[in-house]
Amino acid sequence: MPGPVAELGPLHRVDGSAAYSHAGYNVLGAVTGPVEAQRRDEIPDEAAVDVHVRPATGVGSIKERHLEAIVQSTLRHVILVHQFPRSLVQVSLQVLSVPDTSLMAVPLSSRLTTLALLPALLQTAMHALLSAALPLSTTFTSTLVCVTRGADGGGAIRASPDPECLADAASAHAVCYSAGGELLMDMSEGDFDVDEWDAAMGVGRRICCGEKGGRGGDAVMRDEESESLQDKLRKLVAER
Amino acid sequence: MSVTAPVVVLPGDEIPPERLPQSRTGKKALTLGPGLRHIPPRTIAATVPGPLGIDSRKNAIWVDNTSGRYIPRAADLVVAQVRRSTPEAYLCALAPHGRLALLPHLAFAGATRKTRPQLAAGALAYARVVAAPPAAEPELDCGADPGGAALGRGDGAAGLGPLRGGSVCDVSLGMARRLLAATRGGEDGLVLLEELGKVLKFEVAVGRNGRVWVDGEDTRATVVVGRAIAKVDEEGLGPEGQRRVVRELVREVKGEGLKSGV
Repeated sequence: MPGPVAELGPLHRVDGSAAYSHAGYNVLGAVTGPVEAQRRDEIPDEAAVDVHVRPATGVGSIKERHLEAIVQSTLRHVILVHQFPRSLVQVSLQVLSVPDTSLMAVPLSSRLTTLALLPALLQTAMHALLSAALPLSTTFTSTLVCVTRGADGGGAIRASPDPECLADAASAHAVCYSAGGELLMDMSEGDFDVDEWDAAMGVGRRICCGEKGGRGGDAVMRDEESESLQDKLRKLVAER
Repeated sequence: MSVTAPVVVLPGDEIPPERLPQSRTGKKALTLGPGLRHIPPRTIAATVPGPLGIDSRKNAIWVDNTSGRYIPRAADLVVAQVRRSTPEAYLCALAPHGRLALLPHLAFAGATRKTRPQLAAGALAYARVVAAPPAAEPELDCGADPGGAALGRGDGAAGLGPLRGGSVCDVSLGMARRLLAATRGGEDGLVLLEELGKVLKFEVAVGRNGRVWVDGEDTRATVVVGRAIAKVDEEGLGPEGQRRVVRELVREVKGEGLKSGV
């Protein structure tokens, strides 16, 4: 599967923007801020962070509100909001396309499709924030891992799974790690125990932060993807 | 300054102590420029992405960053646009949707209650940011600047005051900073204004907020200067590219002038 592709600054009339595509998910993100907040939105000692998620088709619903809440609470802890009291940072994320699942034998549950979109949204938001040069306390990267159980009961961990693999998986985990290797966000779905969760986090952390942050023993990722998402982010900014 | 390629930092990267500039005498305090923050006791971390700039003579370190929204800081020169007037001050926009800045009616050189300039909504003024508290409106001043004489302006006012006529073009924050440095003779690599000045007569006022006011001897000169600045900004051209842009634009408008018989 090809690695993620990101572009910084595709939009010209916003303060920062990014286009991100990975594993069939294409998201366009825009950041405006810090701007004047409306009186009812303003917070006396920090910037309000406002996240809008628009789906690829139709209008936003509960699912998008749920995703907005998760992205918002992650971003609020990364943006240095105390530097801009009484102002507003607006992050708009437009989903351009998602993988086609209409021909699958067993359709994905709504909860799994929601979970699978989350890493792409978080990655797009981070790239757009870097493009807007908004003061941040750290950078983060995010990925999706899933655990599939064989007939003998042994588990295998797959990173950035395609929809078929995700439908077969016993559990799926959307994880987000800071540059320093700290877990910022984890949303898990399905049936898993502590050992499986621990192993999934180890793989997720290695994908996000590279070998130095990894701690698990699974060798699944070693030849598949040598460069971590964090390295990719650094390279993209350096090229600019 | 070192000649090696600058280190690019990401937000959250800690600057190792050996990379910080060392004052030779050990007396000068370290100056942290934009894009860096000090986390007590002795961690210095980047907050924005970009190449690290170091001036060991001034014992200063900062992150060069050319994108994003203008955030007012004290002592910045800006091109402000009047939105409306209150009994005491004009409310001016520095950036779209941003917080409006206060420009007191009496903050002009030689202004009294009766002689203050009357600025309508939409009027422009070249002003200095006096104070930029994070939670309140920034305050502007168009009065005499004590440092103005040092900038080579005879009147000591740095050309502050209402801007009449001309036109405004938007540029990136990095371009605004380069233009400002060039008008003070600081930046090498930006020869655009000098080159334009050899063939055209014009005035510019460069605002740190990414707005450049241009007034030429005629409309054509204004347009040429505005387009040249925008083009150099978009394509990030070096000195040779800037000379080429000036040649092309001047030839273009001269050709049009001949055609229309002017």
